[in-house]
Amino acid sequence: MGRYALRRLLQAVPVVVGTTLLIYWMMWALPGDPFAGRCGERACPQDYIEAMNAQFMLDQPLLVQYSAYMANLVQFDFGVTYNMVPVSTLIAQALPVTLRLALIALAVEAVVGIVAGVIAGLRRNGYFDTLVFVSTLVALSVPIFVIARFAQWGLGVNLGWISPTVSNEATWAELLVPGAVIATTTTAVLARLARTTIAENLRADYVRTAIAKGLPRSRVIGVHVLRNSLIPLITLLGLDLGSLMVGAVVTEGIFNINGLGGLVYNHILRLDSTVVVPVATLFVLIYIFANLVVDLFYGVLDPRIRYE
Amino acid sequence: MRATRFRPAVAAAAAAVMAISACSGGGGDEDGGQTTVTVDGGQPENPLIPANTNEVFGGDVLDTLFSKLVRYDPETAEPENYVAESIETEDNQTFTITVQEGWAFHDGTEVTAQSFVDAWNWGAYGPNANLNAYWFEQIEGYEEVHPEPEDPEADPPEPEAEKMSGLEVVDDRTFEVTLSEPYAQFPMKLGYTAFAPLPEVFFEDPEAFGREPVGNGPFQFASWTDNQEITVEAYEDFAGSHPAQVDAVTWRMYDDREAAYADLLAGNLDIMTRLTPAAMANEVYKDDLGDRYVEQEAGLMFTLTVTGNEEGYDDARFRQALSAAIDRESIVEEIFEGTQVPSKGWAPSVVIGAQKGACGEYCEYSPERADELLQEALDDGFEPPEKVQIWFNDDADHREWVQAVVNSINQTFEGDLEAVAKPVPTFSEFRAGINEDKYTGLLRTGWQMDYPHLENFLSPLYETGASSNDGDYSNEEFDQLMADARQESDEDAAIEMYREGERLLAEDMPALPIYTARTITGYSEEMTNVEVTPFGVPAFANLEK
Repeated sequence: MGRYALRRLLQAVPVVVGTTLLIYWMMWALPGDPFAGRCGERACPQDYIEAMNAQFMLDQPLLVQYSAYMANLVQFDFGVTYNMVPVSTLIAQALPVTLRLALIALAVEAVVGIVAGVIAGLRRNGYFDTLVFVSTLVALSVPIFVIARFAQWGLGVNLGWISPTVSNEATWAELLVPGAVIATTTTAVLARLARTTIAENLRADYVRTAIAKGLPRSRVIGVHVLRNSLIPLITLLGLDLGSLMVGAVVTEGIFNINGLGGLVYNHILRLDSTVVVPVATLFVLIYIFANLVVDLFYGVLDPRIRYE
Repeated sequence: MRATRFRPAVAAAAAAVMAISACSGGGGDEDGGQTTVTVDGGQPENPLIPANTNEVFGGDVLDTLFSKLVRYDPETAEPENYVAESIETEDNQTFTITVQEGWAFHDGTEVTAQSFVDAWNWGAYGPNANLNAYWFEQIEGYEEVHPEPEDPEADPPEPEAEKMSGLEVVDDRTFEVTLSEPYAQFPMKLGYTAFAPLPEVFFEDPEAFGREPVGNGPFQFASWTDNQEITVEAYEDFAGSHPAQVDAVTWRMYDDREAAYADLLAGNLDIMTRLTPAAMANEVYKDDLGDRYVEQEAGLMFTLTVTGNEEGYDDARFRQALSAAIDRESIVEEIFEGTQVPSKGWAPSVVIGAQKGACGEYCEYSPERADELLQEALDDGFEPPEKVQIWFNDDADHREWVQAVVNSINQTFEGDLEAVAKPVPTFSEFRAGINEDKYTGLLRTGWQMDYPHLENFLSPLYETGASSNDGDYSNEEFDQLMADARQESDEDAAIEMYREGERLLAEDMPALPIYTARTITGYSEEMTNVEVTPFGVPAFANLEK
């Protein structure tokens, strides 16, 4: 298993290099000059534009720019943004916040989604099942920014239970509501998936065998049904970690959370590749890592799966 | 999400006293007894150096940190001497400036004549590539320190000198400024951020200074956390007549301005400088805030500049017809819910020298008159363009009003003439295209005043070859008026000439005035005094909480 993990991590290297090149190229291909639009309604002084372009090597051919950039990157020199702020500072600020937010969201998804789905699956067509069905339908059909604004105004402005925006420290407690908001969609998907998988596994041969040999119901469900049902659920959660890192832009903006998603979004608007490239690379690394963990989990959950 | 606002001239220094207080907002306020005012802000685009900051987020901060020779009255925008004891001239070309005694930088060093001269020379020097370098272009010797290449694509040539010959230190507190040609309104410009003095420590390491500026204003720099907040604290030994009234000001940075509004209502933010369109719609803010808001017409107006030299647009009557075909009142009413003001001239009413209705009948909506004007032009053999193209950048809130203008024109001419809106994705792309003369037709343009004078809305925009003359307009008579007014010592006589120049624009219609902005600033229940300057920013030093 160790060798398997190592091989997977090594495969990540060409992926990361390819991604950075691709993103670098895409940023470069965006129309517009990042410095020409900085002077309000007047034209920026040509010497300013040229000095900035020279500083960031934007006057060089793409490959020259890219190799210089990568040479710095492998030495962990991220450089400064077009606003002259060290990129590493920005990432160091935003990464913990985004991680906290993502973990809260994952926890909400895992607990609420799986519990609701399992109970609904065990008691199909009952009162609780219908409730889960209706509430997931609502959660899936209402856009996330509506839920976010609703929470902000309802809980924050009208009731005053929470602060409408998250402070700079972005503590766990403050991130609870935003995290729950981000989790809504996946929670709903997870609940439905859990319900279907449980319902299916309840009819599986090995479950019938377990019941037939007289195992108590708790053991049948706890070990045989649940464990086998977890595989698709874990896959979904693993993939979601990736999208939680990137896809929280809207919610982050609404609650004024200083996360990675917003950081990338703002710098794409400013045509500033200095931030976009490393953060996007980070996203790729997180995706690779999350998927590796998920794959390793398969082996734990299902002994039939072996790694070589 | 985020729109950068540019605010060339700064009024904040004007704001003398700042008084806001213990606000609940995020992490800035460790000791409870302090009064800290929180204001909405954003990440500055450039290091905090006066000569290199031209947008509002950095500019607002710098204006609290630096006091300039001249201060603009927060209410009337009238300039008055501040750090300067006197500014004297006999020929409007050589100005003798005496610096008042007693001013010090926050690091304790004295503000002297040298502090100004060095700062201006550094700001103008070509290789330093400062965004605000053009502010010094009237000073003699600017061409030597900041040569322009013949061909705009080429690299600028090496400067012949490091210092402008027009700046001369006479003694510790006196210096002389010589302009390359007479310009009577020069002292008025000295209130802009770019003219701030710099302490010696700046020249040792400009880069470090940009992260931690040392000024001479009512507030001193305290901290800056990127993308989160900037805090300035009251400077206790402030020498000026308008010290800060609160202990500190914190700009909290927001990506999403609706979030700032929610914070304002929840008492989490003390001042929000421009309310969002959602809050302005149907005057929602009046229900939400009661009387806790200040309305102020701003020195910002939007025009449609015509590429008047291009075929199809080169007849003044045709341009006037377009102007008369635009129903400004309805557009302002329907698109902006009456929060903006229809323009009837080329300058907002807040500037010194503003006149009413310079545009005359051409800015009054009249389909009959528009038809008549168009007909006259057609009878003389003028060929209108197949489609009147209106270009705009689509990354800010322009689409709606531009579309409304298009509709207004199309309805007026009922098929005789067709207008179309031509979006360009981003402002930087649009700006680059304008510089390359890529567009033919009407260009969405705007102008935010640098200093509160009618002149600022005329000569940079419509004088032949001027820096922001996007339509390449040229009129000898207009140029002459501008040149004469610059040399006129009598202020009223100069204003009269500028006014005449503005009226001249109605005859040529190089740009169609559309609307003037109005800002609404909201504040929390804890604020006891909030004044907003004609520049649309709070008078920071006057804030009280």
